[in-house]
Amino acid sequence: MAKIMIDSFVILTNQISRYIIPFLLVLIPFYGLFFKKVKVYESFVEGAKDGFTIAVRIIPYLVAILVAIGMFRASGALEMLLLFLTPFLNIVGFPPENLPLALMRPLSGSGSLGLLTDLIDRYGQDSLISKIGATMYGSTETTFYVLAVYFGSVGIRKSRHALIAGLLADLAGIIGAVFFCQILFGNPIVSNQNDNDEIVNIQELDPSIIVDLKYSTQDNFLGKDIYGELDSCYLRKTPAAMLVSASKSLQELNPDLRLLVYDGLRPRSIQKKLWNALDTIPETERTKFVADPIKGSIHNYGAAIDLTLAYKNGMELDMGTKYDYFGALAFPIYEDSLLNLGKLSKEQVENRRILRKVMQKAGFSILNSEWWHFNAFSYDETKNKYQIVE
Amino acid sequence: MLNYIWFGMMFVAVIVGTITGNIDAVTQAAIDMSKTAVTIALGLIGIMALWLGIMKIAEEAGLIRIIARGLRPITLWLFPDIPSDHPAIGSIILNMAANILGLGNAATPLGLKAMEELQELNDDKETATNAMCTFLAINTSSVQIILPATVVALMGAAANQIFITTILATGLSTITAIIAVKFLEKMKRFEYPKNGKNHD
Repeated sequence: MAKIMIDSFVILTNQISRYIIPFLLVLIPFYGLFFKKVKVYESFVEGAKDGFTIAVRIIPYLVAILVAIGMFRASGALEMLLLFLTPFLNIVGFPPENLPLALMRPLSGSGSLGLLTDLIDRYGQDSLISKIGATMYGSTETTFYVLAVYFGSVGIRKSRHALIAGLLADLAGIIGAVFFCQILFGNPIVSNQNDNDEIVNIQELDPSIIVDLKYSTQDNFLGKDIYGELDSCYLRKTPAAMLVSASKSLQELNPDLRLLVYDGLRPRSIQKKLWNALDTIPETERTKFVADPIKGSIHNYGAAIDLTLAYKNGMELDMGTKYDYFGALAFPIYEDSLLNLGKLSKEQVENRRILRKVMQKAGFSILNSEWWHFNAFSYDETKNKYQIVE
Repeated sequence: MLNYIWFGMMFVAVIVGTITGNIDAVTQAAIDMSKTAVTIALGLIGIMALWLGIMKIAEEAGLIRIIARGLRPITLWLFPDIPSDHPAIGSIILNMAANILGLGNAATPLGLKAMEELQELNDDKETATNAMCTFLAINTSSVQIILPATVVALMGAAANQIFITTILATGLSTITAIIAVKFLEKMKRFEYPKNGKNHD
C-alpha cells in the first residue's frame, strides 16, 4: 500500500516537474507583458547579456579547479581515498562517487561545479549518481564563501554559531539529496506490474546470443558439472527482453561482438550446492561470493544474468579476470585504481565498460563486486514480482 | 581555505603520481583539463543567457516584490530582534526572494545591503548578532526553489526530474539551519557578549 502511494506520488511529481521549466519560460513573460507592460523582449536581451559575461568569468575558476582535480584523479590519489572510505560509506548507503562533491560543496561553488560537470560527463545525465550530485549542488551553498563575503563586508570577525549552523545545513542538504534521490530514482518503476511468470529460453528469442553455461561444464570454481542435462539459458520474460535489447545495441555499436552468457536462471537447488561448496569460508563472509540460498539470489528468480563479450566465433574478450574470480580484481568499483596501479589494462577496463554500457542502456543494474553480473530488478522488486525457482 | 585545498590536490597528485608511476598521466590531465574547462564554459553561454533573460523579465515585472510581500510574516518570526519597520527587513526579504528565484547576481548585493543595515543595530561591531547568524545560515543553506541555471544546462532533460528532489533537500537543509541557529544561539559557548565584550 505504502509502495503504491509512493509510486503514484513519484509518477505525479515527475509528470508535474516535466512541465515546470517550459511553463516558467512562458508564464513569466506572459505576466510581465500583459499585466505589467514590461517590454519583455528588451528586458530579456538585457538580462541575457549577463549570460556571456558569467560564462566567460567562470573560465579561470574552472581551469584552476579542473586542472587540480584532473591531476589529483590521474595520480590515483582519489581512488586510494575512496577505496579506503567505500566500506564505511556503503554501510550508510552513501554512493562513494558523490563523496568528492559532498566534501567540496561548502568550500567552493566553482570547484563543486567542476566536480558536478565531471560527474555528469562520466556517468551520464540519467544516472542516479548524477541526479544525486545535481541535487546536492542545488540544495546546498558555498558556506565558507558566503560567510567570508557577508561578514567580511561589514567587518565582523567573530562569527559565533554561524559557521557551525551553515555546515550543519550543508550536511542535512547532502544527506537529503542522497535520501530523496534514492527514494525517487533508486528503483526504476516498471509500469508492467502483471509480468507473467513465463520462463523463456533466451536463445529462442535471440539466436545471436552465445550461451556457455559454466556450471554445466567442469570449467567453474567447483571444477564439476552441476547442471547436468540443463544446457540452455533461461530467464523470466521481461529480463530476457531486456537482454535482447542489450544484444541489439551491442551489435549496433560493433557488429563483430556478441553477448556470451555464463549463467541466467539458477534453480535454488544449484544455489545450495554452490553455497555448500564454499564451506571453508564462514557464512557471514560467504555472501560476498555466493548469495545465501535461504534468502535466494536474483539468479534463483530468473532475473539476473552473468555474461561477457565475445567475438562472433565465440572467442571471449579479455576482461582481466575469469568468470567467478573471487577478489578485488573483479570489482567494477575498484577499476579506476586497478587501472592506475597497472593491475588491469586499458583494454580490459574498456571491454568491461562496453559490456556495462549496453547492459545499463537496456535497464540492467550492475553489481559492485562482479563485472559479469547484472540484475534486471533490485532484490526487493524481484521478490515482489516473481517466485523462486526450486 | 580553498588555497590550501587547491594546492593540496596538486601537491598530493604529484607525490602520489611519482610513487605510482602515473606522473605522465598527471601531466597530460593538467593539459587536457585546462582545455575541457574552456569548452564547458563556452557551452554554457547560451543556456545561461536564456535563463538570465527570463529572470530579468521576472524582476522588472515585480514578481520578486510579490514574493517578498508573501514572505513578510516568516521574516518577522525569524528575526524577532529587528524592529518590524526597520529597512533591514526589506533587504532580507528581497535577498531571500532573489535566492528563491535563483537570482544569485541580485541576491549578493541585496544580502550585503541587509548586512549593512543589520550592523546598524549591532552594539559590538566585530561580533555577529543573532539576526546576522540566522540570516547567514539561511543563506548558506540555499533557499533556492528554482534550479541553478548551470544545473539545468548540465543535466539537460533530466533536470526536470531533479527539480522535486532539490526542493526537498533544500527544504531539509534550510529547516536544519533554522533549528541549528535557534538552538545554538542560546548556548553559553556562542553567547553574544554583554557590554560589547566577547567572553570567548
